[in-house]
Amino acid sequence: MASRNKAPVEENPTLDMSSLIDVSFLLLIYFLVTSTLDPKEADLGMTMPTSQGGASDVEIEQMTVEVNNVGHIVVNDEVLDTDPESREVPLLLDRLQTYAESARLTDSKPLVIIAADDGAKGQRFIDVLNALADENVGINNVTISGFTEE
Amino acid sequence: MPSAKLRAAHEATGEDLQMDMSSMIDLVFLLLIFFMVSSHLIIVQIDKRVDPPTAANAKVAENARGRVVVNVLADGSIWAQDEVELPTTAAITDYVEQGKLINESDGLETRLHLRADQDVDTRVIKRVVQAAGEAGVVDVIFGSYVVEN
Repeated sequence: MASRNKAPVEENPTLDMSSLIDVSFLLLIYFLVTSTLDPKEADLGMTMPTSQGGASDVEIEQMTVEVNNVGHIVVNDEVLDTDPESREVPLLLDRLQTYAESARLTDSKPLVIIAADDGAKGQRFIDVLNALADENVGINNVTISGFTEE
Repeated sequence: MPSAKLRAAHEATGEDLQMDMSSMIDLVFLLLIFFMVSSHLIIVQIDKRVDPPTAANAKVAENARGRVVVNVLADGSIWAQDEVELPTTAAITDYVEQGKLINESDGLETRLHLRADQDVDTRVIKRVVQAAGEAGVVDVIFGSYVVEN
């Protein structure tokens, strides 16, 4: 022991970091694999028309979209999309595109009334709003009918 | 920090004892990038009891200024952002009015941020929108999950 201490040290003593890095990478991979990300929450907007609303001079007939208590979407007494489990509403989207296009051609402000049954689920109501926010429709002037009087 | 013995041994050689930090820095950068990628900004305080609907055309918000948040649970109960229940329509209107007054003092336009559960009846959604309308708030934002297509 004593003789070893007396020996002259010629090499640079270095700290071996490789095992530390191994452990750190293992931890990193563990957290990468086990972590779950919360889904992003986003905005779906609508603006209720007001008495001071800046409507254009030319008026277009408003469109009423009904959502019944079983989740069927009805326009002009015609049942369009009937699967409440599907997030796609192609027939409604088609109608809305036609309506938005005619509003654009006549330079008027489209207005959609959503008449949702009290028992309709929130998701189905959002499906209609989602169709209104579609890039080919782009109607945010929306009102809801069927408010209850208290 | 090298021990006194190590230092004493190396004083004779005249070299500095240094720890190689480059790999450590690599690792720290990796962690930083991981958390930067995986995290997202909290726009509003999230009530975990609400399971919002999904909407493909919803837009991720950039700021939360001027929002009055109302949470609607699947059982139809209505809660303010700070987890205080709003049992009556008048309570909702009061809550929205208070938020509107605060926003007006800051020069902001008030919007109702409605976080309604996907299974809640539309009756409750209409009730909240109506109450907000009575408080003079007509801009409504529905909180929803973005669907990745």
